[in-house]
Amino acid sequence: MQFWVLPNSGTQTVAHLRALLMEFKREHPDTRVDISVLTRDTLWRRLFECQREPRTTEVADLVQIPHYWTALFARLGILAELSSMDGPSSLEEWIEPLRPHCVLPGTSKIYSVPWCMDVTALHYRVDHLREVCANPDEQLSKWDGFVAACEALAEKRRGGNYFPLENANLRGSVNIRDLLPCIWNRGGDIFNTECTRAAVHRDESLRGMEDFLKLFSKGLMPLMRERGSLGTMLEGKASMVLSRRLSQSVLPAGSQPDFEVRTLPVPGEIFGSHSFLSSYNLCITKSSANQRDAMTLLKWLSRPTVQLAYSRLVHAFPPSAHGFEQFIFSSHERMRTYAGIVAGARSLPNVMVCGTYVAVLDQVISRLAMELVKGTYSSGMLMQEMVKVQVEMDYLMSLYGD
Amino acid sequence: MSQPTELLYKYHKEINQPFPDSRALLSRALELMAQHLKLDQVCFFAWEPMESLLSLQLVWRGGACMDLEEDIAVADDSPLRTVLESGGVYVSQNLNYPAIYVPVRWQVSGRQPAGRPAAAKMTRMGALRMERLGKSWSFSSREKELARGLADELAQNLSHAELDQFNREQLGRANALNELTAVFASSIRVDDGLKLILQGIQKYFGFDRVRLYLVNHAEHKLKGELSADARGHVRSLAHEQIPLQPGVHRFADIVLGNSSGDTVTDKYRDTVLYLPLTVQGKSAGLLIVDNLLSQQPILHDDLVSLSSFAGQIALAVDNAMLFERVQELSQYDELTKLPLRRYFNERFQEEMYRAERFSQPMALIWMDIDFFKEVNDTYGHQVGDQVLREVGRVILSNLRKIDFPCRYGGDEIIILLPQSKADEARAIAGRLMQEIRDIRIPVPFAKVGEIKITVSQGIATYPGDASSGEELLTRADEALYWVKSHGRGTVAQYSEAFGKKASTGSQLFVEGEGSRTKNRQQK
Repeated sequence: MQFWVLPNSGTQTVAHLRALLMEFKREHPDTRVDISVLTRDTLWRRLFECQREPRTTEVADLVQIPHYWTALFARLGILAELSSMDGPSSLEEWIEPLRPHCVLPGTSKIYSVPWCMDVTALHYRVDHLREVCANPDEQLSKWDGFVAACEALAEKRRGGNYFPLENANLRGSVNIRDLLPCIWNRGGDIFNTECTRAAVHRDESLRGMEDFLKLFSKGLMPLMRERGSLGTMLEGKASMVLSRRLSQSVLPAGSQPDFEVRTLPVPGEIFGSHSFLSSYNLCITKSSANQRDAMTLLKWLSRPTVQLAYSRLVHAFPPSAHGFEQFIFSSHERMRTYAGIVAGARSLPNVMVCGTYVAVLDQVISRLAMELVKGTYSSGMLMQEMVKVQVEMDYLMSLYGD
Repeated sequence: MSQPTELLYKYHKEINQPFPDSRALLSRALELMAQHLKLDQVCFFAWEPMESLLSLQLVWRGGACMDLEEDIAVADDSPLRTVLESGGVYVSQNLNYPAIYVPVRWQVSGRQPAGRPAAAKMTRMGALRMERLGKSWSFSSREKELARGLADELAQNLSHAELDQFNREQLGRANALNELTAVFASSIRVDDGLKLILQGIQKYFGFDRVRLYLVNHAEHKLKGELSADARGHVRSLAHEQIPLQPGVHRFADIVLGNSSGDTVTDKYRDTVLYLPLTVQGKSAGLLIVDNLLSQQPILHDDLVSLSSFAGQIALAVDNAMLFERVQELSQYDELTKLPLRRYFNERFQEEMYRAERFSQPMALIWMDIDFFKEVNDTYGHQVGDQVLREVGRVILSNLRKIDFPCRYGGDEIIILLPQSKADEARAIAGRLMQEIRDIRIPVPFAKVGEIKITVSQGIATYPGDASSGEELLTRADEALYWVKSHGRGTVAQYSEAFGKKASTGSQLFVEGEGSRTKNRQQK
């Protein structure tokens, strides 16, 4: 059976999955699982190829997709309807905010189920921050205070390949998912309320994007550097990270740091503090020749205990209601930290054009990142690009609106 | 470590064989490199010199190959850039473990996005990053030399693998064109030929969407026809009508051959393709294909295939249009523009079935032009034809969309009124009678100067007057006969003419000349 996954834990993805699936192999010794780790771009292309050339294309049986792809690939007939197979007939066992992303919009037909999820938060080294502010928790609650703290840290710890912020983007670059909390905190969004028009060109959305991009232009966060060439929080080469993973992700396994890492919501702006909640869902392809095996593995991976184990491995959050409760109530500190973050979390809508929209924005933001690296970036460039995106997306929504 | 030549030969043998695609070749090659050079991790990057960007494609680590992402902006003056462009081996200065970059350069055929200038062959560039994680064991000169040898061998095999892939894609395109030819052939004799053609192009080329616009030379317009998309949805584009004038719309400019690049077309040059269609040197329309939903570039080879096939597409579209025209001619009367009897019979059966199945009422008007034979005999057939044309025009402009008129033969016209009861049929018949009475046909060569027309109409209803289709026709004909034998120029409904009401001498004509009503007893 072919299982396509996203690089959930970078170069460790296959190792982590093999470890997780050992128990499954004991239970199902005759089921062979071949894992392919694909980037979003490759996965996107290959799923479209499944539709275009179903006879010649290698088709996965089980696929991990970002939650906001469900509507698109269900509508294109690439995904199998799980609720019509021997799959889940209800979404009760997953936490409520993730449920709308599992179905074909406007129906109760289930096409994907959550596997793991992540939420943006700010993790910081208490010892470093105390050097530049008296009350880090308070100062880091507002975007201005956060930027001021970054600037103070940059000044104080200048040189030696130090950056106040680690870049948590796996690509070492920047994408729309990194920018979303800042856009929402400014009162902007990429869609209008009804998800019928693009809103990415509006002032508040542009201001939010600018907030994040300024971290690069001010040299507070590295951009497009050789991975591994940059220092980590553990080495003292960074003091903070805006990451969607848990704070443990910033510390290598087995490390015993002599400093404390604290977690806060994304620093807020006039419209409060929002996090980006993203779920990674599992689905079965319609053209799979091993749908039965794929369903067996999907069900196994959906067990709350398995989800909890996998989330621990990749420092993500378990999406099942039971697993999430176990996670959040495991310590008072965790409950205090994450209750607020999750309450302020928002997600991308599960509408047909969302995947295309994110892909187009990522292409544009990649180009802007190059301009940032070259030092030729300007706000005018951002506005110009977003107006073009808005025109294209409005047109696409008029064609493929749900 | 074995001798480099021995290792290189072994490596050459292992990777110099057919692989399904270049990714499969790379996976195997990276694994072998890790084995031969005792590496913990090998990464393969694509190198975009114009953007100064190294973009990670594939990583081998821990016995598995993974597609991962990492973007590295390479400064113009960096020694890494020099190595990437001129060859050699670059020892990473930034990583805290031994790692070297080795450039890979290979030739590929085709596979350019359609919007870019075509090139028979182009050079692709990449780089390998060979890493020994957490070790202080740096690379010896002999190992660097071996690394270069492995990279060169990989480059050669990448060329072959991509050529194989290119050939397979070409074969796929050829098969698609063959299958499309069959689709086109079958589209010639079916009602929805255009739909089949568009769906065929969408399916066999795998575009997200295909749109067709046709030139209407008489109106000097480019008219939207149909759009077919990856969901299988087919939409009418009839609402899109573009004046065929320069500078009005870029579609018109493309058809007129005046297209020049602008910011919009430039943005979409990789994902939208415009293909003007010509038949016998004359503009026939515009085919637009796009991958806007998937954002996948349309390759130059798709453009070449489609362009070389444009003549066939245009011909197929023209044939489908011609077939529709022939259908129209065989189904519609040229003079009155009303459907002919054969077409009516088909529709009548369908409507009758629907009325019976869903217990819906239906009415039928049988109309006859009064003294039509005399008009022909007195004023000639040209005047007679004009009478028919005018009557047809009035009928078509006074009916609902669901009503179905037909020239049943000679001067007899039948109008089917689905979901209509007797009073609705009477209202329509009355309106028609009035408007036909207002028609004036000029006959300048005759003393009268112009002639007026009147019609006689018989109405029958289902289920009131008849219980079957055949009976409905008979009853309407009988009602018409009744009108004709009682003075012409009026309307009668069967049950009123022959039924209980009629026999008691109630008012018979619902509409008459000067709104007069006549008692059939007077006849």
